[in-house]
Amino acid sequence: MNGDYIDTNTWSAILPEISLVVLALSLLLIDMFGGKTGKDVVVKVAVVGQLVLLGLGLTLLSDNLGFLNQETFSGMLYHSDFGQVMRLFFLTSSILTAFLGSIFLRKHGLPRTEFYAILLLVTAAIMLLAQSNHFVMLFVALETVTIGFYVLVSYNRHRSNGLEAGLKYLIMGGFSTAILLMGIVLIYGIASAPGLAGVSGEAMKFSDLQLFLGLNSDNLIVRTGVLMVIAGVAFKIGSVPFQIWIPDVYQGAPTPVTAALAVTSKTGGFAILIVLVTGPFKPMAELLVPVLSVMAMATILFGNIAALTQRNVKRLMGLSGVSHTGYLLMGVVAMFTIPAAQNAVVFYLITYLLASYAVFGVMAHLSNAGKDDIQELSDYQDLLNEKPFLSGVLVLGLGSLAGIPPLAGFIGKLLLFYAAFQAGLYSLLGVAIVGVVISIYYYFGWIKEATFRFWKIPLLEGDETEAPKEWPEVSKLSKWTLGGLALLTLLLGLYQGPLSSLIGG
Amino acid sequence: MNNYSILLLSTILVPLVIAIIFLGFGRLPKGVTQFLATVGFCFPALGALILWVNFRPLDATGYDYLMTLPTGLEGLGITLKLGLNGISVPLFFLAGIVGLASGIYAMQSGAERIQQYLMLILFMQAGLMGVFASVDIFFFYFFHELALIPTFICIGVWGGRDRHSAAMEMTIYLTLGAMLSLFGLLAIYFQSGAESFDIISLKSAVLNSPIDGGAQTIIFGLLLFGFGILVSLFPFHSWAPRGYAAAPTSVAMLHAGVLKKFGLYGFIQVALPLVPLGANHWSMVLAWLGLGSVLIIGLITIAQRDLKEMVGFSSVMHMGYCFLGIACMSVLGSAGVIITMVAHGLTVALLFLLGHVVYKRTETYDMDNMGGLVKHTPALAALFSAAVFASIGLPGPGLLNFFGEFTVFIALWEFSRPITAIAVLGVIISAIYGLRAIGHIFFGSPSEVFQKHLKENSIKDISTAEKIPVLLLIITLFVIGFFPRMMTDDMNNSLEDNFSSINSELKQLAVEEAPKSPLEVTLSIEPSAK
Amino acid sequence: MDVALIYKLFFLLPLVTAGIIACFLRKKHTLAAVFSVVSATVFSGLGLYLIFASERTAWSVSWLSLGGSECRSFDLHFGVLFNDLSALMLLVLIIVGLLVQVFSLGYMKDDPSKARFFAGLSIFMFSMLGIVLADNLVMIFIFWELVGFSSYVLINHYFDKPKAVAASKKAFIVNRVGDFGFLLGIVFVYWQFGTFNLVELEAKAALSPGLLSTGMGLLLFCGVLGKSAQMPLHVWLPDAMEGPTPISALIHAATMVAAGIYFTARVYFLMTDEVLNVVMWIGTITALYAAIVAFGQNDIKKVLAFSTLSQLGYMVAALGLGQYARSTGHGVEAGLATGAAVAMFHLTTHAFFKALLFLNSGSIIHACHHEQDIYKMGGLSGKMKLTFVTFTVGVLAIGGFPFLSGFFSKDSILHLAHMAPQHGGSSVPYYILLGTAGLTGLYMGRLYVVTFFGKARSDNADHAKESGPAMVIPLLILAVLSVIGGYTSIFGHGFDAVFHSIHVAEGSFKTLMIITGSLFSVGGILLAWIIWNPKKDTDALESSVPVLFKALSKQLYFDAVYDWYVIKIQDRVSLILSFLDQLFISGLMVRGTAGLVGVFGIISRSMHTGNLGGYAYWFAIGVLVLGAIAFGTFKF
Repeated sequence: MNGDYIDTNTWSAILPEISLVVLALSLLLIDMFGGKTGKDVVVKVAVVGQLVLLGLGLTLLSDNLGFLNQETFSGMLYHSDFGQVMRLFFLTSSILTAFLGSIFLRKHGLPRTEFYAILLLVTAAIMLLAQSNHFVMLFVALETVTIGFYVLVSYNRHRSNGLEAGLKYLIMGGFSTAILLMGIVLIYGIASAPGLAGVSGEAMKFSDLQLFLGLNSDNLIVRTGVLMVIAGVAFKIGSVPFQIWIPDVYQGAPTPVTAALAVTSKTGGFAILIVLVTGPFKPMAELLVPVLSVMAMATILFGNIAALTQRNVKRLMGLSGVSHTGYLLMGVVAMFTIPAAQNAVVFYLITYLLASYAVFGVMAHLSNAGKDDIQELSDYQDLLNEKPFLSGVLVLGLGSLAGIPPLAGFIGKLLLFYAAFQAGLYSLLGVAIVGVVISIYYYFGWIKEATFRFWKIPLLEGDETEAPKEWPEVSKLSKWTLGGLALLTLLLGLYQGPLSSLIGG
Repeated sequence: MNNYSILLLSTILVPLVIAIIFLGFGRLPKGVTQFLATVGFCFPALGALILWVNFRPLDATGYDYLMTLPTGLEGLGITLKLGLNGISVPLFFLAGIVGLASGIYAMQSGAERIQQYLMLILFMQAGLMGVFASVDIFFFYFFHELALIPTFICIGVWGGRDRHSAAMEMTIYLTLGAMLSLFGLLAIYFQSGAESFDIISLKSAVLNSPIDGGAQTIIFGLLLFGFGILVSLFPFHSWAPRGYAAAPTSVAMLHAGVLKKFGLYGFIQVALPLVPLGANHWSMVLAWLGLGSVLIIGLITIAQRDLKEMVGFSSVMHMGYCFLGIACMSVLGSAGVIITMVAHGLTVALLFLLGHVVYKRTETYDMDNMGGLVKHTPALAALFSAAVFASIGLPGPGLLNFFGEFTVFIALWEFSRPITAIAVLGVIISAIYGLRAIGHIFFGSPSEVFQKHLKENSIKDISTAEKIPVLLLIITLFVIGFFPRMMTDDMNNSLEDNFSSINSELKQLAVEEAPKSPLEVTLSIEPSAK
Repeated sequence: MDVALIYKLFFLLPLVTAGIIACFLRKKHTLAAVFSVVSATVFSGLGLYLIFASERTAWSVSWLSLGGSECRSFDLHFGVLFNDLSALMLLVLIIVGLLVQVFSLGYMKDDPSKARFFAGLSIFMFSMLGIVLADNLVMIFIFWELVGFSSYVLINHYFDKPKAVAASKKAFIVNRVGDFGFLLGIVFVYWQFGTFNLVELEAKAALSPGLLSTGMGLLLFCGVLGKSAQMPLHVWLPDAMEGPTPISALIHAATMVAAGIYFTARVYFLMTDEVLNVVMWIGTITALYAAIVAFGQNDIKKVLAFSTLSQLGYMVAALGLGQYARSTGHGVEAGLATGAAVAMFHLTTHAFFKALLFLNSGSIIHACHHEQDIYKMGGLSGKMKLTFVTFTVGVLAIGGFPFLSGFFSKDSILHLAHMAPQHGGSSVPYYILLGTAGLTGLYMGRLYVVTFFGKARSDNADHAKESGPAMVIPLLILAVLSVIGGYTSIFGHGFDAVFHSIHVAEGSFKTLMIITGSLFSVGGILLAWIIWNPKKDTDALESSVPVLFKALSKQLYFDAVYDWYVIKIQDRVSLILSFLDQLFISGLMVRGTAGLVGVFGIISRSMHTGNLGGYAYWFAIGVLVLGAIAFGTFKF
């Protein structure tokens, strides 16, 4: 251990995060001194800056400037391949969120700078989270993210349901944080208690913790602590029984934030979970496998069934997101026996990202400033006639979420099922079938609203038509972005060559 | 991998690419759309024809035109492996020809937003070609699913009455069936211990070490219900008549004519050779359900007034013969099934097509509101009657249908005489509803409603444009019917290869332990599934 | 000339003719008619060449071949087995067919859709040819069905008459009912003998009689029940008279309905004695039944239809009676079994005189402007001399007047029946058949008297005049044949295998036959004159015993039963089933499941109260559960 984290010049290891923070601060400065023009520049700076980072990430940072597979900051961080992938993932989703913001905020005339600043900070934090190697680091990063989201959720402070959502998220988040912290403390306490085998000075460090847990896996306090940590994480990923907050919060939050919650935050939770189950909690398999399996089943069923009757698209996305959590948990369970399952989970997250942002993009376009930004399924009628492009994107996105070939989502599900098969989780698979079949109803129900012909009461002489719904203009940028997402969803379903290294059994 | 393999690949790619062009490039000028669509529909048909004519399976696998392409899923043992064997060649051609007919009809249908319509149908077409061209059982499934979203949207946007719920029911049902069969296929792959999903290596793996009996029972159970739902096996048939009644003609043609055959094809090409013991356990259940399709659905068909629903039910009934043939687990049985599949595919497409041609004249599908149409449309009457007589297996127009059913009966006699006796009753039943339909539509005196309709507008006979797809299908049916050997010989060889291994495995079973009764098996499923 | 080529031509000619007419001559009616007749002539020429000039052969090409090493192979050939039997049938087919075509030239002169009619005729010739020549069961079945199809088309000729439509449908479906058994029988035969080929079958059946079984024979005979309209599947034939009269003559009297007889003769070696016993009784009863019902008919064609039924009954009975002639050694080893031969003999003569009678009725109907009720005719003897003469010949022939064609064939049948007791058979059939012969004379007499004598009972009949040559010439030819058709020697030796197996009565029985024959035929007419006095214009039976007459005219309510079945049983069952399908499968199974899931959805939705307190409980519960697991309270 000694030696490699003594040296102090490891800041370059987290260059992306640092630069994100710098970018965030510079946004504030621009806003302060830039005056009217500055406000408009902010968006571009934010997006372009991140795009540059993404470019860098894809090229220079591939080996993280030589820090790949190394611990830095006295073991606080560990830079694994997984971490790198997650960094890029979060960066991408943050860019897409920013893009949604650029559409949404203008519509609703909300202040922009703060939004981007916070978004960038959250991204930086969650990128660190994915690489944390130490419970303290984990907790700090996680809290940064959560606090950022508290603000974002209630960003539209002129709207009551926005504030309500913020409040709910705050309180629920508080609960979960408390539980998480409790768990950490329990583990810390027991792990540094003398007299137990494998006690080390660095009780919070994952590598050491793994050894310790390996030796005391059936210690009562250990078990309690571990499960409490899992509970804390379960809140983030929105798994039963900690999913209950999701519909309200998703509905209240501004659409871009909802997207960020659905993708970034959820993925963050899974990043921790993967780090934990591959690291310290690996020895706890015989405790966690059944627990997580049951959670997965419950989550799949609850998510799908609850989504069945929703008419509000945001709640729908939220609850369907819950079901996706369930499928992903299945992958996580499989990881205990089949390490390769991790690839399946990551791939699924990627397809989930593409599809979700495609759908949220359409939603952001259709959210009309006039109303209280509440979108019912019925608002999507005639989309095919009025905006064939948007409806096309929507269909591909939803199809992918439903997991229909030839869309990426299907390959994602396939990989998960494949892994589950290898791990022999037949009962889970059975539940998954049910879930998928149920999900068809609401996903295709949405497609139905958007595409089908509907019979309308013919107007008689004299009765005036109600004001025709104004359909949004789709800018070039949006066309390219959404079109790109949709096309990627399609192509990734047809041909997975580029990601084969990621998939590779 | 030779030029023909490239041709095989392009029969799938051409429609797919054109569909993506339609999807991506916004609204194209009408001429361009028509031209591209024509290419997209003609190419697969011609390609299929060429491939059939030149089909010469040389190596032991019994496959020709084999080619393998990377997909990125090699890590899972999945590669895009294409090829044709004696079983898939005729069905591949069927997909091509029916696709062409429905495409031509779709192009002249004058539907609004025709480009999107054609785009979706082209997607289906590509999938259909892929289903029968893929040797890799994963892609066999994958291509089938390609049609799910297009079907859904087509029904909803261009469909007829009651389309919303019909489309939804159909899609959910099909997804359920698809998921079950997907799991069955995955299970086969994992149990067989083969290192790739392609059927050839799976067969060889199974030949060396058969999958153990219990697992086979479960797997075949999954496939039985999965495929069964996809082929609208009684009592999972309710989606078919409703869906077809609601669907636009071209989609109904493609779906009932070709797509539905996916499940049966899966039984013969995948399930029987790979899990024969499972099939043996389940054969009685399969047979009785098939019998239900023939008898019960047949009688229900008699009661139908709506022409489209009648055709839908009748197609469910004919699928019953196919299940019976599969249950026989013999070369003859499977051969009969494949012949029936081809014959029925052409016939049912023909019926939906002509049904809509009639609809254009009468503006109703309700057969009680028609009558005496023959005076106005003699040619249409002749063609329609030909189609109906074909579908009821009258040797003549329906020589191929007759050969199919007859072969099934032959095989069935060996399997169980009482079942045969009941199944043959279908011959009478189909005659009843077939003639009833012809009589209601064309003969007798027109109903009051129809008389009014006749007064208001003049009715023309079937036009040349409409004739083209009709003749395409009828002539194909005739030619194959009169020279069946051009399809049966290769088919027979492939089937013999399959069954030589199947029978050896079954003999093994016979010496090991007496087969359980299907009932016990069904009971023993649930616990062992966990 | 190469045999295969001839056969190919032979098959293709009518088919191509039909095709050409259907595709190109649909509008040009006269041309179509002429074209059809010409091709029919060529066809007949070819046929005669085959019958008289070429030696009997067999020829076949493989059609469909399945199975093989892994299972029993299933080889289907398109083949021809041309022996004396098929030659005889072919001869009948050609003669009647050609004459009917010529007759139709006149009869259908001003029919709006002549082309369809002649196309149908060609199709029929093609299909019938298939049955006659086929060398295997499957091929026979295929053409069997095709014949049914063409008969459907031709009965349906006047398709705007609902009765015609119904009749055609009924004919087809009832035939299908018979074919149901037929098909099963074929499958049965295949699994017993492993082949469809008639020659191989005969060899194997002779080799191992154990393979034969009653069930097989009865199943095969089902087809005959349908096609040859034996009870209880006879219901379609009377209705079939809705078709044009030439069709009734050709298809529903002379050839198609006789196909069943021909088929049974063809596969006689598959018929065990038990089967033949059943066959005999069915035939006898049908003969009697039809003869009785004939008295209740006023439609000239209906009367003839029932007489056809009755005569077919004779033939079937002859087939059945053959069981007793097996041991007599007559021609059993030489050629066809006696029963079959006798049946074929009667088939031949019947074809002539029944075609004659039907064409005569056609000529009359034509003259009376499509009036078919004999009580609206009368006094035609003066107006239509030639028709009157030929009809007289027909009546005498069917009545079995000595030394006319009908006499010999009927005589040989009765002789068989007469000998039955000597071979342990019952004597009842003999008396029934004899009595039926008497009835035949009587109802034909009624028809004859009422139609031709007395005064015209309607203007149509009043204005009737003799038909044109196209119609009269065929009548004359057929009349001649009906007279001499009984002298088998006139056919030459081409059919010895059939005719040598026939043994006519000698001595006392012969004299008996001559007496009864002349008595029945002439006496029948005289008696009829007394009972149904042509002066009256109402039916004697109807006025005297209306109840009985009604029952007879209703064909003893067989049709009523048929209709009752269709409407009350079949339709209801299908309706009920489709209702149940809607209720249980679409409703309960599908919608029910969906509804159930929906209920869960509503429940889970109601959990989202939006109330923070409530949500807090979820967390509490979650934590407790996890805690419980941690403490090992829950185990998985």
